[in-house]
Amino acid sequence: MLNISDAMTSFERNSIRSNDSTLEDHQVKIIKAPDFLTRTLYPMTTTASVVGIKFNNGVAIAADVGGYYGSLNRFKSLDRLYKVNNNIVMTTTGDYADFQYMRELIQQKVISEEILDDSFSLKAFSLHTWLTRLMYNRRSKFDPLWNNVIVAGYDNNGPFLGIVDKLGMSYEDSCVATGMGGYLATPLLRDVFERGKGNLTKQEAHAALQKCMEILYYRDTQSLPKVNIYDFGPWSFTNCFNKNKIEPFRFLSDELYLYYSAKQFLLALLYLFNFFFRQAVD
Amino acid sequence: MAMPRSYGGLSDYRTVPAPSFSPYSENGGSVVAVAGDDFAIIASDTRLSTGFQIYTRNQSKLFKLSDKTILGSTGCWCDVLSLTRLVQTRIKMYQYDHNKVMSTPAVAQMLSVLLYYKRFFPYYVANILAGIDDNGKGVVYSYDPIGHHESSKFRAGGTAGALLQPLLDNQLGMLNQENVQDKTYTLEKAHAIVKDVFISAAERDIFTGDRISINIITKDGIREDSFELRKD
Repeated sequence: MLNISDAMTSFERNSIRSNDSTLEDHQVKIIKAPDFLTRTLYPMTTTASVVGIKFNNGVAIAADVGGYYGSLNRFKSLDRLYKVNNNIVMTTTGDYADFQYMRELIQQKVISEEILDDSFSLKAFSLHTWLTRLMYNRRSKFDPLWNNVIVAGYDNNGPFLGIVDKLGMSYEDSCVATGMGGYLATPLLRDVFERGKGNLTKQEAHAALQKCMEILYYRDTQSLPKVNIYDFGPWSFTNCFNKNKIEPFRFLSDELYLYYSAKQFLLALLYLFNFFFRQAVD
Repeated sequence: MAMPRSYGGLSDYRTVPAPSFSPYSENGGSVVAVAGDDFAIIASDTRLSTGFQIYTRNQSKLFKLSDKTILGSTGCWCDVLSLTRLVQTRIKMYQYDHNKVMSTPAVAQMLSVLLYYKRFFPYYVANILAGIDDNGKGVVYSYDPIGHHESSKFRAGGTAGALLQPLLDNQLGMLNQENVQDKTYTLEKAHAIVKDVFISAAERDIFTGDRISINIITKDGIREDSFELRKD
């Protein structure tokens, strides 16, 4: 029950009031939305693949900057590599709103941790386990967070790279990829990793990630040729905020980009011309 | 997808169905366990997959519960993680309460209860528990997802379970063989057969492969072993 404000007109009051005779004149019955309407049973704004690989003394992950609304490229510059603290970076594939929600939860965790000021900080492994429980809890309520999460980090135990999916399924590996990347990128990453006998340099790891993002761009309709890469290693222990973040890069040269844009434009013109021509004939 | 897509005039372009949510997934994997007079062997493959995608080639499905009990668990991996964590916690609680390590038959009974507790939203998991009992004898228990269990000498479970069990029946139980005198088997024989059945499973089951992780439980403790399988 809730007291309605005096400002409400009698018209509004009558239209909102139910036939419940137990209600006083100044009361309204709050009708909750049906249960199934309050759950995310499909994603809305989605984000595409994330790929990650370990190298000799660190770990790197890459994600493009697109946000999609169905097949519409709705957002073109989402930075979804979230730096949790000095040794963890986390990102997701899937619903962007759920990612933002998780980011706020984690942000609060990190703040609470920092307030203690006991020189301990959240480790990637702990965050990964915590996310497993969060996701499993939500899937058990039939109200999942529609994301695949990648957690990458570096601490005293070395590099960490792990995945949690929307059910709470999780694993760690040297090469991980989500979404379309699971099919297109993991084989490439594993190949690079095994050729390098698990001991890649940072440059090799970066090159592998860039190649994966490029191949994903060629085949995954929901991806962009603009990518963020983040890496971690012993150097990130020193306070170098955002130093280990690489500027977004494009793997199409300006000429090629112009060429593709012009081609698309001409095709659109052709389509419009065809459309009006048909109208005229009809 | 967020919005049903339709493009005017193209009759063969169907709308994309909205992805539906299922709380379960099938992540594959097989477990085989063999009990002997003074040992138990339990082995699992290390492939974690879904459909045609291999998540990782290096994920053992064996969970050490104590120095004489090991649980092998496959199926919906998120349920496996949750269930095994719960079992491990309950075993710790038992140890703190009673100041003794939980025996294998006790763990077996508890696991059944934990599974049945979720009778109407089950853990989608195939469990095989192997260990040695209080008399030092090898025991193997196998479960269905809602807690039914039975004790046996050898058991195969998981995606290649139905493929492997008849092979174990024949090679270890000496079933469907004529004039068999000796039905006992040594640790070495059991170990060799476990390797062989996994090689067979990897030939036919796409959810089983990469590597097997073998644990041998005797009164002296647990010995670990590993064996490569085909990786395609």
